Amino acid sequence: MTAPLVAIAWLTPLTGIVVASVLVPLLLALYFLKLRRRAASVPTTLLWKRSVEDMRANTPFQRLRPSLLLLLQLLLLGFVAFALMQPRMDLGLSGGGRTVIMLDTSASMGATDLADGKTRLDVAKEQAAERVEALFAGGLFAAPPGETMVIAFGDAARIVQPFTRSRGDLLRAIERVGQTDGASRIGEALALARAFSTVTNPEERGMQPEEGVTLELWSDGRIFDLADQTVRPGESVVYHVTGRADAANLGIEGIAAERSASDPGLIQVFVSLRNDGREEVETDLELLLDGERRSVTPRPVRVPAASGPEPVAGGVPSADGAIYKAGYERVTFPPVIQPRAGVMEVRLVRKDSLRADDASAVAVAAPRRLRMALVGAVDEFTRTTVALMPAERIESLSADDFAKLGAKAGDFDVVVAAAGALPKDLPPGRYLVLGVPAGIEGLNAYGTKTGLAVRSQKSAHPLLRAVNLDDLHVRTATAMAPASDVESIVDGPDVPLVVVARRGPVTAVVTAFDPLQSDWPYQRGFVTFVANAVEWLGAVDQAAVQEEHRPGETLSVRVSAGVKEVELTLPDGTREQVPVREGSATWGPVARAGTYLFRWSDDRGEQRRQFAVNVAMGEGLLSAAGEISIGTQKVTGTAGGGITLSDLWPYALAAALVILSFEWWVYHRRHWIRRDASAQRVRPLGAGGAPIIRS
Amino acid sequence: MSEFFDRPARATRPERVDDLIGNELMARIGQLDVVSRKIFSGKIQGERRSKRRGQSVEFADFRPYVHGDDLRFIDWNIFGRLDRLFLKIFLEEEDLSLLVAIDTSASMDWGDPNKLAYAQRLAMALGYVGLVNHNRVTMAAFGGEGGLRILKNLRGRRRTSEMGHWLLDLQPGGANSFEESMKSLAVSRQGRGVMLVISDFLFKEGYEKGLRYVAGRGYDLWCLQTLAPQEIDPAAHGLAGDWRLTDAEDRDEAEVTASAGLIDQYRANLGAWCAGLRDFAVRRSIMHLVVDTSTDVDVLILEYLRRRGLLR
Repeated sequence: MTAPLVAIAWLTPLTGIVVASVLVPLLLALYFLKLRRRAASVPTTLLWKRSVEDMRANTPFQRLRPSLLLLLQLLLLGFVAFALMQPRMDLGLSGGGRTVIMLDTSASMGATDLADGKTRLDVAKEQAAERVEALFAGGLFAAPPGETMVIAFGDAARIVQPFTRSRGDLLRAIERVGQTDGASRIGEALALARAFSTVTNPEERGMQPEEGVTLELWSDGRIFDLADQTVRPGESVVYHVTGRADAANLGIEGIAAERSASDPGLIQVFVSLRNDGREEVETDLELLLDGERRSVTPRPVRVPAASGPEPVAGGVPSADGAIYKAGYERVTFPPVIQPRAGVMEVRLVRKDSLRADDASAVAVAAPRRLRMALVGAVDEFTRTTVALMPAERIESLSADDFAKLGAKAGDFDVVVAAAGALPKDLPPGRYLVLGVPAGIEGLNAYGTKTGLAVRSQKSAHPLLRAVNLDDLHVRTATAMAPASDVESIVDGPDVPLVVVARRGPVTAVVTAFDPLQSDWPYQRGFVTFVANAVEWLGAVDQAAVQEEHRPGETLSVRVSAGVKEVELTLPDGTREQVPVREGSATWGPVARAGTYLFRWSDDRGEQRRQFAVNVAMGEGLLSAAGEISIGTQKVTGTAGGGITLSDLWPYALAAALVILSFEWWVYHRRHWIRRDASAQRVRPLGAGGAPIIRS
Repeated sequence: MSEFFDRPARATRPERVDDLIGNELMARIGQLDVVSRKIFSGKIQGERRSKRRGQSVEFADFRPYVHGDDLRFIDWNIFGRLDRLFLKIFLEEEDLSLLVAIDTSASMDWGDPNKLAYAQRLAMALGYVGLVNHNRVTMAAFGGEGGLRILKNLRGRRRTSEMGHWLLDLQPGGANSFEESMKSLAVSRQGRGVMLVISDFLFKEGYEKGLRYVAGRGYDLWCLQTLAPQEIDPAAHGLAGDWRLTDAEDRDEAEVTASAGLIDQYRANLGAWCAGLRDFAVRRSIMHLVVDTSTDVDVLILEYLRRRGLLR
């Protein structure tokens, strides 16, 4: 993005032009006109000569000769005219008021499309530091620096430095801001900025807008939730474009790995490539297993170019309705043998400006069959479905037997239970409960409903994958008013029918009705639902097949009773001790992509658990937006530092004053006569003897 | 007077000897004599004390007799008392050369009172003093169109008229080199005595080289720098505003805007010019005097020149 070197706004350009067009010719005419001089004879011009330069011809007009005086006077007039036009430009001076420096730390800010191999975030930090220096630089016409705070935002926002007037604190805070591989969301950052800003509506409080908050945003403009935000009265947004508008990028958008159903020792890896460049790209891919290369694509993969208009930051579609479409290509690697757990990583054999999305990994657990329990009077349809699933062990327990197990119930990967068979004090574990149990808080059953049909379902939820509930009819269901943290995935007319509840170590999928009280068992979707539920529950906290995480999420491992601490190895090799609470060790939110390794020891020996964290989706779009839309307000980006417009006329007048003084000095200097070092006045008669001149 | 530059008064030049020196002034200065700071010897015996001791009526000192001394000067009274021979030594009286050099360049024909006329009157008065005291008076005019003109070796009161007419015949004009004139004068002058240079000393080529030729070498040198009041304070005589000034000698032009600041600077630089001449003179035992032509000649002679020791 190119920007003019000097951006000057003129408030009254016509006035200056008129004044200049009148005065400059007048000044030149005065120089053309010859001065009428009286003539006199003197004994010698010796003492006058040095002060005389203008020898003029005996004509009314004279040839315009190079003259320092004329030059100075023209300059003087020029500056006066310049001042009259009231020019304004960004001098980097403080306009007073509060300033919030917001630094985008999302993955796309790690691109090195700017000069010197620096990342966008490095450049943004340098510019922000320069801005702070400028705010605190002072100057003749600068307001005293107002309070400034620093917020870094990616998936989440973080106050790096609360409001302060300390230049040093601000510079150190900016230096502390680190890169993340997460998505870019500004909503939380704006909320934080507003929470700390007390003056948000200066008009109502009779204050000047400059006394409000200036939000100085350093970003590439690719912020997902911009359209959901608004600029409030008193806030002014300055958007510093960080990045090139023509930055192209090829990255791995998604990765998946599956074990073969027939041979669990075989793993097949699928990746999706995304091209945001305007040209088709060819690349090779390599597959690594625990860091060792295992496979390379036999021929380069062609990824088509992106098409459509330039994506508008903030999610506002273009006027003609055309949408931006990135180029995608899917690649399937041949199966590789990996009977153990491991991390499958795919890398592009190609370098571009964003390294973070050139590799993507997925952690694959060891092939392990589930241990399941059927507790209580589970209907035959469900029992049959569970029995058909590949499992290490399926036990049928009565309610009493299950209650006696106590904490050992956690050994089962999934417990499928009838509602009334579960104890009130539910042991840690993962449950598929048919009916509303009493042992789970927050379900808030209050009665029954009859004759229900499905009103809506979250089809994207893993539990409802390939499950169509349009024809489901429920004769009798328990009416629930679940708490806000209980997720309803199937809703009836006014009550939820299927919910997912997480209560610490307990995760439960609860149907509000006994399947036998509906026609669901007779539908194909019921089997799929039960299978989905068992697989999903089995994968919670313990990967059954594969696991992929994104920055911003938390990583959690469930460990055996008695383990107090878990060692975590971060992608950069550093190690941390993570304490175990309620049977789980949780760490996060994750900031950087890479492989995270948890290790701990229990009575079965050393245990390992790997997590693969990949760059946030959508961060591969690198083209920096020259303009962003915050709600309905469009903000045009500026390249480089700040844009506090300062009046230039005081400088112009000051320059005119200096030139006027210099011109005065030059004018009189021309009439001076060289004075000897011993120069002194002719002394009056008799003083010192010699001179007798009378004055 | 106050508008000299707008309407310069026609120069009143002396036309008769009486215009140069009046009877009253002649009477008042007839008693004066030219004084040299040294005792000089001359070719003929005059009324002047000389550093050389010898025959005179004025006793100077004794010294022991040595073989070959003139026996006429032995003090026999001392020989009678002390029985030793001592010689009486007398100061020898000799004449003095008075050389008056007048600048007749065009720049001197300027001002009110006119600088050349003033110089003529001053030269006449000083020459008269020299003549009545039987000094050898030489008049010289330099800087004019005719080059160096000299009236040599006048002595005695009866030469007053001749000297006066020579002075009246001087015509201003031209711009001959001061240096060349002084070089010629230094070569042609004879004996020892007092030399006066009457000029405004506003030479574009400088005065230093010229004065070096005539300084010392038996002559007691005086520089009488004559300046017109219009030169000293041009603003008081109508020089204000925009002027085209023409050099009286080389017709060079200078266009000036005579503001108060410029006039002040001009006065300061004129003072610096005069001070420079005085410093130059002091370092070479030359007497220097700046003379305003509005000062009466008789006041200058009877008061200032006597006070400075040229006359007594």
